[in-house]
Amino acid sequence: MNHDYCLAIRSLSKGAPYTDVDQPPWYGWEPQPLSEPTIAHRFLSICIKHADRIGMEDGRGSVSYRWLHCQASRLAQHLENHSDFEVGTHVGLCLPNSPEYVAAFFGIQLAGGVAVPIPHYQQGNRIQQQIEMTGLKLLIEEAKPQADKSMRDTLLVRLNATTVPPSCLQVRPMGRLAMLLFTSGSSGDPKAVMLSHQNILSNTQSITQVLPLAPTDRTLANMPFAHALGNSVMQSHILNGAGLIFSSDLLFPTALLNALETKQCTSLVAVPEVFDFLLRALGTDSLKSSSLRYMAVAGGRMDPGRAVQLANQISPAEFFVMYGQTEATARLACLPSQQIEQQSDTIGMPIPGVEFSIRNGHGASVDDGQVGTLFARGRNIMLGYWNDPEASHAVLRNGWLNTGDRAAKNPMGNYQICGRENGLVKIQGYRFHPNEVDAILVKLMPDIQLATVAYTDQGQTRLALFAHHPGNGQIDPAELRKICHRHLVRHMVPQLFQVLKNWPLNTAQKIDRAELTQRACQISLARPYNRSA
Amino acid sequence: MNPQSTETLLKFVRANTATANPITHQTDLIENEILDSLMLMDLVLFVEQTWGVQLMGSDFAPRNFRTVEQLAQLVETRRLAQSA
Repeated sequence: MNHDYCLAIRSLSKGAPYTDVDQPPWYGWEPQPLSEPTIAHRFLSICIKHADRIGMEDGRGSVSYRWLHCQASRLAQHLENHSDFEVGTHVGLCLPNSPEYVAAFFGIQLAGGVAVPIPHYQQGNRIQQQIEMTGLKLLIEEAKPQADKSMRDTLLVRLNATTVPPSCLQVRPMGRLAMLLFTSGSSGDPKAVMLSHQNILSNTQSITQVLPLAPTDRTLANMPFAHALGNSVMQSHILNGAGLIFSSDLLFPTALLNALETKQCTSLVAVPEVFDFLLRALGTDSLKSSSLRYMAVAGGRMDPGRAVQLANQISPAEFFVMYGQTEATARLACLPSQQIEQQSDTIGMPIPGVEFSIRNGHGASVDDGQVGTLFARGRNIMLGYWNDPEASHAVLRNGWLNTGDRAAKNPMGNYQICGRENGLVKIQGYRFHPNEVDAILVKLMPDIQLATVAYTDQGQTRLALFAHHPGNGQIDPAELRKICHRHLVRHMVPQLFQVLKNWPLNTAQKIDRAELTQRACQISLARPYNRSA
Repeated sequence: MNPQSTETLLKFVRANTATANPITHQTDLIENEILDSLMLMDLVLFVEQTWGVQLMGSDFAPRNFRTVEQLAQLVETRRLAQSA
């Protein structure tokens, strides 16, 4: 392999420089009977079975499962020999989608660590917050050539191993916890979802039972792996011996269509926004692809009409509508292609291994057709939130997960989502609470009162930021907008900004958010692009 | 090219971008990472709603969105095509 693949392992605990060991002692890797299979077990068996199959492809070339096995093992060796590492250590993974990310993820699994994907596209303070809240000791990140000499706490790992030590064919004992995946809570603070080996293996297996996923598949991996859906796409493909295709220039739908064809991709799993854009690029034309077998939308609600339109335009390839949550590893339900035409306003039925229950406010099951709170149970339901028993207890009861969604079961047995209970919104597949925007901004502008609300514009969820200066001072909406762009991740930036002389108040004398939402809709209808004002 | 279209588009891009560097009608929006998927969608909707044109198919290509000038050119082309 001539291509340059390199990673950096940074120690986050001060004064603990890494001691490099060229010939690492292989201790602790004795085969021991484990009660349950782990991701490492599955990974090793797939690597051995599909050693010569192309596992990943990017602009630098393609790599096989043999390569992936060698590099993951090499990384596991380095972790093993790191003074800051022991079984169960949380290891951060702050990388874009790439073969390096995948090698690092499974390297952490082989070593018995807990992988903690940190979205690399976030602001620095958010990354630092996540590092601190999950107690990370090590962080795997992109290798910066200029830093390798000067930074004693950083180890550069070149992924150029060509052999796997025999001991790497064995799996060492490890804990139940496999990874932490960040999501947003209603308080606005990030939460780390604890996913076990069983959670991930179970959800992967369920997905392969509803999607026509085969080892011959090649999917375009365009969703960030630090995102629950991207993580699920990565795991469901690698743990089935299928291929991941990386392309850096997928901004334009024409580029996406071009990549699907030139890379001979067989599938695409993405959030609704991606498919909305794809439809615009297609116009009324059908998608002509010699390789595409299916597409699946997840990570948010797709307009039912658009789902039907897309299903027709990609036929004979199939289109699936999926529903899920980070707390359920990723996916909970699926509407198969054959039912799209009649049932596109539903999420289908629970995937194998998942059970649904719709309950009223007293926790009792409601009749079919009645709207209630959707609960889910299965081996894919998280262990809880890291270091947050209160929040865990609030959503997990007797093995059931309260999804926070309002739903009803229709006569066909399919489930329809009717709204949300906890005010969370989903934009570009990212679930968060509008309060999170206020929480970040109020630290930057303590003199101004702010309220962010969600509204719907042309079928898309959007945010509106309302501001009020209690001292009757001036607020410049253009400046507000600039601050948002500077300090918020892109999907949290409001589309609409409005300065108010007084807050509308409800009967409890609190800010009337429902009234603000109504105003946002009215403003949006009257001046669709208030943002440019 | 209609200078008013260029100016309107430039105002929109400047208003919705965090970059510290000045943006001109010839700034490369892709190379400078000003254009992301949300910005692209917003630009498309802005163009369609402001000028009453519809962008389709091959319009969604880097050559039409790389600079404000190129996008203004696309707007003019679509406006002329629709009024013909």
